[in-house]
Amino acid sequence: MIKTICPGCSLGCGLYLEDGGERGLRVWHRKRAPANAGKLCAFGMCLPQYYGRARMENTVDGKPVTQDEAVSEAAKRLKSIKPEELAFVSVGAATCEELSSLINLCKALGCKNLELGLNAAFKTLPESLHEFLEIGVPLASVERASKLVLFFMEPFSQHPLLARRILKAKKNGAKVFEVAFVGGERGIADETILLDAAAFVNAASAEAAEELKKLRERKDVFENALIISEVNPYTDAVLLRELFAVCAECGAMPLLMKPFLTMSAALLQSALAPETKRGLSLLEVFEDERVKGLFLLETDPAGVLLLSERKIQERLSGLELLVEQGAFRTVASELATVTLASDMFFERRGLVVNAEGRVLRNEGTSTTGVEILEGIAGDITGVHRSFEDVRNEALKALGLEAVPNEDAVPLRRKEEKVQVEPNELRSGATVAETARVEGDYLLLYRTTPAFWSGQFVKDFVEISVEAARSLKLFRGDKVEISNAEAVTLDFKISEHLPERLIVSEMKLAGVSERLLSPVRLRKKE
Amino acid sequence: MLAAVNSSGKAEAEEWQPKILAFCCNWCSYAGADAAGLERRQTPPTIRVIRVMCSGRIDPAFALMGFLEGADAVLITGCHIGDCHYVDANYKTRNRFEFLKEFVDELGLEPERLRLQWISASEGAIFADMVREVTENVKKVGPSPFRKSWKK
Amino acid sequence: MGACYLAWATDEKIRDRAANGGFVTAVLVAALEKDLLDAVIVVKKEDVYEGIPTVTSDPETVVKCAGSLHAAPINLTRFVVEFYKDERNKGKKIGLPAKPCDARGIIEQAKRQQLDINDVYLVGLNCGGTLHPLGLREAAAEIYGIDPDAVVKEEIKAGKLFLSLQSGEERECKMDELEERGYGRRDSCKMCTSKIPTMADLACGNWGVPDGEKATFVEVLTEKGEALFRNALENGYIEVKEAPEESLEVRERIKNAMVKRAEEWWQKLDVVREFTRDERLKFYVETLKLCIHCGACRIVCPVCACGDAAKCVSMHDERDDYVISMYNMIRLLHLMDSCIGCGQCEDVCPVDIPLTLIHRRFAERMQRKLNYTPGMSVEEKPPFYEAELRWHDIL
Repeated sequence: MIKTICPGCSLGCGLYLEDGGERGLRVWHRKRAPANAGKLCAFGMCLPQYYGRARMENTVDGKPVTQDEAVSEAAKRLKSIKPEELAFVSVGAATCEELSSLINLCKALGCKNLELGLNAAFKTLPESLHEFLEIGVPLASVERASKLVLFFMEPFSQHPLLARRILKAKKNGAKVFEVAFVGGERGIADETILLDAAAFVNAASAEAAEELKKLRERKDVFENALIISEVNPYTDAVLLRELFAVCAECGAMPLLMKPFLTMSAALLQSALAPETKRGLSLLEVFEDERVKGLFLLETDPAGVLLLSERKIQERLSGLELLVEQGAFRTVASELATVTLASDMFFERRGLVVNAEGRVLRNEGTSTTGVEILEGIAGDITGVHRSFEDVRNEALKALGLEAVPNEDAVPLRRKEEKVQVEPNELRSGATVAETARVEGDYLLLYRTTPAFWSGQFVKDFVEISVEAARSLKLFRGDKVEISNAEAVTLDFKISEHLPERLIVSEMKLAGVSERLLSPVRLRKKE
Repeated sequence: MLAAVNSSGKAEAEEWQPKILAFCCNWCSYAGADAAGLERRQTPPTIRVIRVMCSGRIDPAFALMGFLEGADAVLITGCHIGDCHYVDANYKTRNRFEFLKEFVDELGLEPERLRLQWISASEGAIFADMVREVTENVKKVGPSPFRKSWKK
Repeated sequence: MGACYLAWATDEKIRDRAANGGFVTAVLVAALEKDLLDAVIVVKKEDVYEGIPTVTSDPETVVKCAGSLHAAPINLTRFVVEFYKDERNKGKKIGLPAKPCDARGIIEQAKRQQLDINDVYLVGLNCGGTLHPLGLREAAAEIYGIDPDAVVKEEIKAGKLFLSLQSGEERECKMDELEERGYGRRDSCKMCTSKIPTMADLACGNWGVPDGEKATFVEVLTEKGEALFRNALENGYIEVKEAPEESLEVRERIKNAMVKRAEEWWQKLDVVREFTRDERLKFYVETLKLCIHCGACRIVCPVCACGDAAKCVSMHDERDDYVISMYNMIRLLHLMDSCIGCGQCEDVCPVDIPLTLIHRRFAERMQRKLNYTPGMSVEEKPPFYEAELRWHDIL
């Protein structure tokens, strides 16, 4: 039984995985694990399926090769691309050591384009606030908070192991508020501040600014509260800045959750390559024609991007060089110049940092991921580092002397409060009028670990009672949601949804490339 | 009147008719229901019948689903013990009903909402009486707390 | 009542390592070395707070796993079932130290044809209850005033929880006091009345062992138990003497006291008891509303055997917007006859639904009505199992 960590989100839930040979992997609960007391959400319970996907192999130009051959070819080709036309991306299940190695490789090539999932957020906030994106707060302080605000976060769907901490907080007398486009249906919040989603199709619009004023009228909600939200590559900049503005005004503290275990990434990037935080963001890497060479580490483009597979393939086909390292094949693998096969996350020896600032050990034995990256870097710099060297570099970057035990929460923020001039965060051109909304409904993605990994747990959309009535839907019917493309799906009626809002925990590629977009909804005849 | 647990669970101001789900076996109780009709016995229009080949086909989960779908009462009917068309399948019905009864009580639904009634093909009167009685009793306890307010 | 002995391991290493004279370890080692068993399932101790189940045929490993581990609340039933799911293990004879909830789970699985009880040798252990490891860590800090990482040993004796430090220093606290203050055993253990594993092949423990003696009180309950016992005795792995009358009385007295305490706890923890019908319904709806349908409770339940064919899964549709989901309704219904109150479901629920309390509310009244206790004997078919129609005559 391997002690491992679920790679689904930044909570870093501990579990055991047992290899049952032909019967596949089996999950066992590790009650000792401090972040989650052994408990797991639906994604964690489905890890055997997550780990059952098609494995990556070592290839060059589509032909199978040995690891060494792939490594030296990758080094050769990376050197042949100008550093300003190169980009390194890792938004997925990578260990601290692998990320350290990647950062080292990126720097060795003189490249400044390094995206570990947070560049869009880093660029939208002043340097002084970056720490709040990098380190969260111990979950024990969630339980002790007297006021909690769920800021566009529905914990039961998105981070259930966080929900139980909020429930404990309530037992301890905390008041829970939620700011959302749709209220949570399990009644965890004592009060919901509902904002009109339609105004936020363009969050920089005057309508959105009007809606956000509702928050400023409720200082009682935010005063000294712990505000919980999520930051991902698609998080709206306006909402993110508003969150921090509110924190500054009301003495509130943010706890920001992330997809995958990217908490480690943020810290390491800040420590080892801070200049890259202002470089290309994930979406920019995929849109910027100047990027000619791309290195993907443990990243499934179809998982982390809201683009359709077709669009992703189009974009990737235009690259001169695509190097992909990971355990599983992705939509990029067919098109990659060089693919490098690593062992699965749970098999690796490595550290990760969770949303609390807790350093967790993954107790596999494989160091292949680091070996590959160090192999490539070694070919370029002539310096070959061992796994231990890399681990020490990572520990040093995190400010640690040695690997702490899992019960400690050693990584804490230096700043207690968010110190920034709120109106600096709110200044920014506001569009006077919203563009015409070309659909009659709004599709809102509710992002979950399943959403980001491409493993769907819920394959239907949620619609309002009014929508079902007006479309004369009966059980067994299907709906069609369309924008540029159309998709046919099952539906669920959720009585708390505002009339025009559709919620999906499933990526509808081709229909929506943003977290919130206008769509058409029809009954599928 | 029991206040429902969900958002707006009070019965409408006008005369509210309970929705009663009745499982009838093809051989005895369905025929009994039929007989009630042929004999022109007046019964309130509250019953929705689901015909099964035998009361032994009724998985207690069907009754649970019936409640969750918004039935105000669930009736399980079949041949008298000893008269089952399939010899002894209705013993199973009786066994399962014991579980259902305890379950429904523990859950907090009123006992008026669940009933097991053996009805033979000639007992149209029993069928009609059952419908009337259950309708009356359920009217007293009100709409099921499992009803969704927005479902008609 | 089977033959009762006081027994201990002849091997000093085992005797010293074990909690009570090493009988359990010695019997399993003897069974392996003399080919009575193909393998043994033991819990490998990582530290005071963690134990990992292991299948082994190596007697050394068994010796290393000697000693009790109160803060690793594992139920070995699923582990045994998974063992036999591997085709290569069909027909293999295994033995394991089994708390009453382990033994009862295994017997329920045998009833459901998931394993052959004749292959599984249950060395039953008396059990007062287990603790949640994180709860123990907190108690160490808050109540005992010590660094949880400094605890090297824990022991439960005479109703007290003893924590020992590296230095040899020992601190104690009454279990009752710990529990009054919100620490102590898991809720399911507090309420559990299965203290002596009379459903196993052997029942072992320290209740009834005279003060100062390093021995295990052993009751031989079945032929398989007799075989294990004889094998160890005749091959010099253990020494025994007949248990004096007083030992039996002490064991009975302790058991009765614990059962009485358990019944008091059930009264105390059963918040639903005082509710009106309406309040009861509201309670079930509101607590089960939290459910995110992760399926963990079903996976860990020691009496569940439906596998992929389970109706709680097939009749549940995420798209249904029911007040209580079919998953939960069916589980509550189907476990009415067989829930043993082991608490695993509650341990793993990610949203902390008080599942053990809820399942026991439904199960306790049905099991009482039918005068049926699950997990006691493979011959007793579960009441929901309809090949036997006899029980309806009881009603």
